[in-house]
Amino acid sequence: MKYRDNIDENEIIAEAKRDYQAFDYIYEKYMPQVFQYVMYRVYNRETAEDIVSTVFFKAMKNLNLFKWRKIPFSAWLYRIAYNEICNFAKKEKKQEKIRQNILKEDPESTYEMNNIGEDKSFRFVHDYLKQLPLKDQDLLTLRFFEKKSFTEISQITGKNESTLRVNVHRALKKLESIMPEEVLNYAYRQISL
Amino acid sequence: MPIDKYLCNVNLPDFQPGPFTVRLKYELKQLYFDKKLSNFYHYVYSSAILGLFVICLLLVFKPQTAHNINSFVFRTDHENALDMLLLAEKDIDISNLPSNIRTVSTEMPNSLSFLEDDKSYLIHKFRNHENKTMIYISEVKNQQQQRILY
Repeated sequence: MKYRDNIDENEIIAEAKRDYQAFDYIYEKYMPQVFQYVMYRVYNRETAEDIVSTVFFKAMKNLNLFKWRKIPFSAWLYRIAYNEICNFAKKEKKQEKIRQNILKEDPESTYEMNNIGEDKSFRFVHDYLKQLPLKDQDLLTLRFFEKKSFTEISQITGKNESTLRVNVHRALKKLESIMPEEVLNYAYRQISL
Repeated sequence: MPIDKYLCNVNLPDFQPGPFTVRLKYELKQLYFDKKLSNFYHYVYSSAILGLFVICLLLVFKPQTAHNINSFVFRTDHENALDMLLLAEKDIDISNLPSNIRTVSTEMPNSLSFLEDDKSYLIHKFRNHENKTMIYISEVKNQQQQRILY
């Protein structure tokens, strides 16, 4: 490959506006990360594929608008992904209302798990996590599943680090309040093991 | 807070994009080159519109230049065409006529004998500023069309 890891990312992005190979390098580098993040959020392969496609189509379309302001390109991609997840959630919410009105069925039963490698511990947490507001879901995913530092989360969300620390703390409190006591006890037993 | 410790210890599944990577890569490649092509057409159309606009402006302010451009672009070479002014009235001032216009008097019947049967001519009849009738003959030079052989 023409582009190597030691080349300045800024140069590659500038080159990607003119040269497909440079864009391909960016795609190869960031696509798995973005896919993983979207999967943690939506936990459905088909939806994740749709969202990731939109993220990269939008990134390609708006590459000229990306300006280097000491924010890494990955943060820009994560931000697009976050917005797309929010759009998806809004659509899903509307559809869910319609579905509930028509079929009166339990939303839990329609949740697709078939295509995903079963991981009970993650699935267990995800079921409670999705009951939180979208911003809190995003913060906790970035912090605990993506293992991002507060500086990196700050670059993605555009909020300052101290605010983020407070927000994460509050989100954890909310999560704790949602989870039933026996579930929490089970979770804490898991840590001690 | 124990909940954050628990979240840190959750066994995270490794989600691999799999064949989707290749599929999306192909779609992105197509879009990239479609975008480039559309940008190219955008420049072509813009320059064509700009060119037409300039010609329109020239038609208003410099008609002769517009005519020259038109002759050059469409290869309508009228330089060797026969341009004649039939002098239907005797006292027309012909001193200001361009050099390529030949004046012929209608009183001399043989003066039009050089007009050839296989050529086309345009005849314009108009009045000059002294309200005198002028007849202007110009030769139409049609571009030769390629014969289609069967």
